Amino acid sequence: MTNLLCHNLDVMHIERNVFENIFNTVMDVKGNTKDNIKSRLDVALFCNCKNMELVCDGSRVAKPRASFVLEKNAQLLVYKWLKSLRFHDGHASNISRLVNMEECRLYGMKNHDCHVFMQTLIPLAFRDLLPKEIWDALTEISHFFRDICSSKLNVDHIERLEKNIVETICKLEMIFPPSFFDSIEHLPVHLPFEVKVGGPVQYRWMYPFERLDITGAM
Amino acid sequence: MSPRTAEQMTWHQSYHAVDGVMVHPSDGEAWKHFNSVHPHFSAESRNVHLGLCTDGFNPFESFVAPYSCWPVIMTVYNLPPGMCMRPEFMFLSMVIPDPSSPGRNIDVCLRPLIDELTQLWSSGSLTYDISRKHNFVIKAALMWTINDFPAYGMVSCWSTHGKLACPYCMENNKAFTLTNGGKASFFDCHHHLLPPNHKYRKNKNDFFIGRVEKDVASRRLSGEELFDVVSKYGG
Repeated sequence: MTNLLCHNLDVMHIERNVFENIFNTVMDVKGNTKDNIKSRLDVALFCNCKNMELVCDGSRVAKPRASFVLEKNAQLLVYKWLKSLRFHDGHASNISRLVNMEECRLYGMKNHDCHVFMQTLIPLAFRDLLPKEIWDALTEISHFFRDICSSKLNVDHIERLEKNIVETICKLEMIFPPSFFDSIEHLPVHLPFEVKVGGPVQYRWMYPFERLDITGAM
Repeated sequence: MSPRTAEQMTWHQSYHAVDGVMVHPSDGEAWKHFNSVHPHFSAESRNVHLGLCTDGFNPFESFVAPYSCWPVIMTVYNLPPGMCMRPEFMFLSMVIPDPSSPGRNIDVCLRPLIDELTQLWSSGSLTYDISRKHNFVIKAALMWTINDFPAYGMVSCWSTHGKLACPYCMENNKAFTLTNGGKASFFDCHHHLLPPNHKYRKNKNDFFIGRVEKDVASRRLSGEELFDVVSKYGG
């Protein structure tokens, strides 16, 4: 056998998808959240989570707020904080420009914005707003992506990451409903193996290629 | 290529890695394994290690005119970290134009490139080395491909949709279709990767209701084993 690693999972797209799932679900973004009515019906079938099941009150059906969804006031606080955010020159694009306060949404997040948000802003944004065990799990996954994207890697450290990421995903499973876990959410468990075999992710992800497409260098 | 750039093509051999620290693909297991299996190839440090990337994009920057352009880009891994993956050292080898994505037919479009790569691998090509001022036969090897997840399915021919989406777990996972959501869910599909006797394995309440995980992580199949499996289906 010649090649140990034939095809690479692209860390850039995985990170983006994981970030979007987390952010849209926690901030309850209409249309994009994974915590919808259908998902609550599935919770009743596959999980033992009574406080997330739909409540029938006569002809009305109520969807109780899940512990991982922020209240409206807290959401506004996060968006206000994002609006006032300033970064060092060259660290990230101007994320405050993307905040739409009226609709409570972020518009036009690029891949790299998601990358910065996932790795540095998630622990800061949700601190004290979410219950501690949920914040812990989100911080762990945020740190996982930060460590795996490091340009200088220790082999022992990667082996530790490989063990920890499974536990982190299990912690997320205790929090979020089954519909949250699409195939992309599963792939982080295989990333440390690819890093061990193929080397740092900077040589195997799509940022440089996508930039080449955009700049029209071709 | 300038003499200074040509000199850098042997960087990966002259550089001495610190044990247990990875800064370049040449520190990874895949590269070392490749060199040990093909000593003739690795004896000439000027031989090129390549990566291949394809990605679809819309050149008209609008979703009104649906068009999907698939550039195929090769990149050189011999160079030091500061030069590797720079736009100057990425080579556009072909563009696949099509109103829609080429899908599995991408194989047909990639054929000329594969032929060229096979030729470069087996017989090589006579090249002038400007830094050492003599001719030599250069060979090239494709290390891996880089794709986003849908394109991964096109290039590797492993369907990245539905319950069998994960190319590592393959059929050994417990993904299921959500009754109401209608989509495949990978909920509770990671417990077999936990160490034996981990407390989450026996937890029946917080995960998939009533499930105790007894399976252990299955071994990753090697390329040859995979080939044997696929050959059984013929075609």
